[in-house]
Amino acid sequence: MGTLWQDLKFGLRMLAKSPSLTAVAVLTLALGIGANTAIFSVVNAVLLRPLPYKDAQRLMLVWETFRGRRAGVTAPDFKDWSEQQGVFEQIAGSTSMNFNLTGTNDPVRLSGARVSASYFPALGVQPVLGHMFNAEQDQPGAARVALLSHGLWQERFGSDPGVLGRTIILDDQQYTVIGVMPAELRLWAASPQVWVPLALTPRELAATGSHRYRVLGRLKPGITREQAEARMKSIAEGIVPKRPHSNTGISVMLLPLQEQVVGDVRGSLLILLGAVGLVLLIACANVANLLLARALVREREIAVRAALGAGRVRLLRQLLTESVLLAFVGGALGLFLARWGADALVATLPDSIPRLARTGIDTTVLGFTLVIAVATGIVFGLAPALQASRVDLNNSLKEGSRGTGASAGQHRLRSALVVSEVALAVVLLIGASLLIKSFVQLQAVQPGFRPEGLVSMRLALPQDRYAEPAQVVAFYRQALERVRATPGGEEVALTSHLPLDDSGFNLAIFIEGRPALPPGEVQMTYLRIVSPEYFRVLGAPLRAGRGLDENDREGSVRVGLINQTMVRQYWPNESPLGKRFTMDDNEKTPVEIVGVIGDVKHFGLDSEPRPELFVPFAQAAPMHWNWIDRSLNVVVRAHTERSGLISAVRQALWSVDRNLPIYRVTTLEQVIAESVVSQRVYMRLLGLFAGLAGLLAAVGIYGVMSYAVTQHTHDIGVRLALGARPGDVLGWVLRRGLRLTLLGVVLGLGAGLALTRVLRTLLFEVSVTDPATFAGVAILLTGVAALACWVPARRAARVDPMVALRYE
Amino acid sequence: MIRLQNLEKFFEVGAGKSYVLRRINLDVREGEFITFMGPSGAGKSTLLSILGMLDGAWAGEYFLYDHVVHKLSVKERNGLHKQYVGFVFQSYHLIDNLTVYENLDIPLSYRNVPRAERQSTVADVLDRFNIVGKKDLYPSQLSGGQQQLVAVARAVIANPKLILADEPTGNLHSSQGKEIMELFRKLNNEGTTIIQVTHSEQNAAYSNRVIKLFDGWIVPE
Repeated sequence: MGTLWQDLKFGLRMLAKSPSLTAVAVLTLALGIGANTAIFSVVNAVLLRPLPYKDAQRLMLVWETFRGRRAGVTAPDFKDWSEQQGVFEQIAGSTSMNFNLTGTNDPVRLSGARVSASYFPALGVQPVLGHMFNAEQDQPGAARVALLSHGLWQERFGSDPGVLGRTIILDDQQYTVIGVMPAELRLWAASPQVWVPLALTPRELAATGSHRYRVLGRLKPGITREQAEARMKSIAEGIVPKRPHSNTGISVMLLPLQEQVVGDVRGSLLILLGAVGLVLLIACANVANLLLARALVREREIAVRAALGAGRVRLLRQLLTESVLLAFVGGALGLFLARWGADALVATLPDSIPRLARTGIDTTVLGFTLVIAVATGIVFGLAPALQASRVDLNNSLKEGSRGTGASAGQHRLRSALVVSEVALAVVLLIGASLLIKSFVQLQAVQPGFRPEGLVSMRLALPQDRYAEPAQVVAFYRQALERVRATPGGEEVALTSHLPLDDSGFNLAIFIEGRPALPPGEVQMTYLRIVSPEYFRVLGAPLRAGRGLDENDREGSVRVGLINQTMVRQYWPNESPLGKRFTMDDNEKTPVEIVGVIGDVKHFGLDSEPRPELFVPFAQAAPMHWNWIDRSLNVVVRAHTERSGLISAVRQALWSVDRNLPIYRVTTLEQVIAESVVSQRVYMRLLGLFAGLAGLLAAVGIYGVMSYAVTQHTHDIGVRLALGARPGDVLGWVLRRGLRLTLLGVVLGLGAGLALTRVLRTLLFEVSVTDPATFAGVAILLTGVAALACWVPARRAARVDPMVALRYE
Repeated sequence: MIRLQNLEKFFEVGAGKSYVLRRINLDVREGEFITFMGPSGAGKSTLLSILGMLDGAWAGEYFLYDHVVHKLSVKERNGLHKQYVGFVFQSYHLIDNLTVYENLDIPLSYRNVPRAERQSTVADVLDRFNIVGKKDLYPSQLSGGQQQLVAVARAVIANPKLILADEPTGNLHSSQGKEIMELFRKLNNEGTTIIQVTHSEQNAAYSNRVIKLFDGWIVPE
């Protein structure tokens, strides 16, 4: 222990003795370790930390599957499962339900959920105030009660403990607050703010086609996921004879809740972690090169130590202690950078990433930093230490000797480090370039409408005051008129689902004149409820037939427009105009197709359009209004200043009903930007890391070439004295540097071919082996390397032979 | 104490060999003070390095007490070196970033001597060499003579049986050199075997045997 302390003390002195080398090394390491720690702090918060529930590994989401695709569960299936399962301690159902909260300042829209009484016991979560729902409250007709999220309690009720027993108005109904849930329950930015009992009604329990419920189960101790899944599958099979029409082909799958929560982002975050890992390796190679250069300066000291009796292991320990110390200092600074970087990441990354807000430096992150600092110290310190400890005592201690100079082995090692740096930088640059190209392609995708100047806001009508479709239609008609009367609001329209914002729901259609499909076969379309002028305002082209108009109203023939994809899928060889179909919406009257609209991107710029049906809001069925909570987006094309217009439209809407929250105020350009936010963020981050990698590699090449020039100043002087032209010397240095670069580039291209496959799912219309990208990166990095070699090459070419020879 | 038989050192040059030392036969008795002399390139320092086991690339036979050095592995030779040998160099080779105290402590630390024992040994040596007042200074704060004094102190601190000194006064002015040579004599009188390399007849006079080398050969007396 005492000798280790000696090593540490000496290591600190060595760092202090070469402040510039220490500063460069520490900064390089701080960048590498800091970037890794920052990304890891996100990975830790999002992927690694257990969910904030008791024995979270036993929590499973139970999904229905149809043709291998996951779907929500129907209420009758949930009821049957609850009665027959024997594998879960608790099984709970929930469905999202948003509310208008009124009576407290301005009306606001709350995200919420209906949950069964077993929901919170299944999660193993207790309220911080009050109590949870009981079985009596989870019955239709029971007194209305609500649980508040911690955030809502803080923001709207000032964390008042007296909120318990208070009445709040949700969708014009009075609910009694019975509890406040803990803050940890908030996993997403869009997590529920309020919960009410599920209280399934007889009507809901009869709806066999409504796959809108999520089912959560807590496995009994000792029951495995597989056993539970087998049991639930057998229950699902048992239900088929009871409800063959709706349940044929329906199976069940279990997904751990943790998997469900983080599954979508795991790949992207791990790619980022891999990318910063490569940056750290490059940083290590750079610092290793610095230490190799310093090892030559310290050659005599090492030799003296060996002559005084230090064995190789002891020398290695001394040198590694120094490098680990360096890494610790870099790690400490890196930790500071990581705190800042983690905050920046949280602000940058899409807020759809679960638990992102919980990102921070905790003991796990500190442990990670400690481990990578030690590992980094060993990685970059080992090679120079091995080299240095292999000192030739006889030569190093000889009088008059200036040291043995860099051996062939040391040259090879330094060259190998630079080649590796270049190769790693090439891999990262290829990855980043592929993402950039993909993003450019994505941006070039035509969304099928003109987003410029379009602003949108959403409102939802409470069921109590707007129970009848006629009331809903009357409200929206009046709203349209008021907005139209507003200066600048002339081009206004309504839609239930904004493009690229809300994919909405799909339902089965039954085309007239066609034979019934076999069980398990179904034709589906996504339903949109719009006002007649929607397509004109949106700028979506009519491809065939006619658009909707004011005559398409209550009582007239039910009409609809369909998109081109629906035509291709269901009427591939005929005109769909005049064709009729019914829908799975309790309406017996068929819808007649009167026109075809060009495809509008609804599911993402990188996703193919799916069949869509647009029906006039005046003809929307009662069930349709229920499905969309009687909510529509008011879309206005602004030709003037937007904020003034938004304010005017808001006032116009409130002039119809002052108790309605107006929310999701946005522009369509913003909606498009948000739809590609993940791609943009990952592209930027990978681009940042690749840029850093390229820079570090260039610095590495510069360092090695600069060192080579210093080492060969005498040779260069001799060459110049013998008649070599400065151009020859310049060429000699450049060739040497470019040889290393090209070797690194070739290796990097090979590694890129193998490694960029992990990006496949993130790319849009770009091959992972895109030749132009590979070639571009090779040229770019070679160019940068040439620049990095140019400076020492010029210095070499300017060597004064007399000075160089006299110096030697 | 030491016996060398037909010891040779050479480098392969093309198809042939370039000899540094040739057929060296030498016996050193315990307590001797020997001087190697000869012109530059004669092989004196190389022979000293081989004796100190800093150089392992040679042919022939080398016996140190009962140890058959030429048959030992590098690790075993390092062990012998630690056990028996102390080195003094012309350029002192003190470690710049260690204080006088630490420079003296380091050979003991490499021999895994417990801390308390190291402290008392270093204190003894500081006292013996009369450099207590310098213990917290760095080498750059000492004169050449003081540095060599510390270097000698460092060489003897682990109580070696053999001190090898390569031009120990080469960088010192005469009075400082004399002081160091007196110190060697004292150590020798106390029983330490000393082998030095020097060009100085004056220094050679301190030894009781002078061995001359020329072109790698020992010149017969």
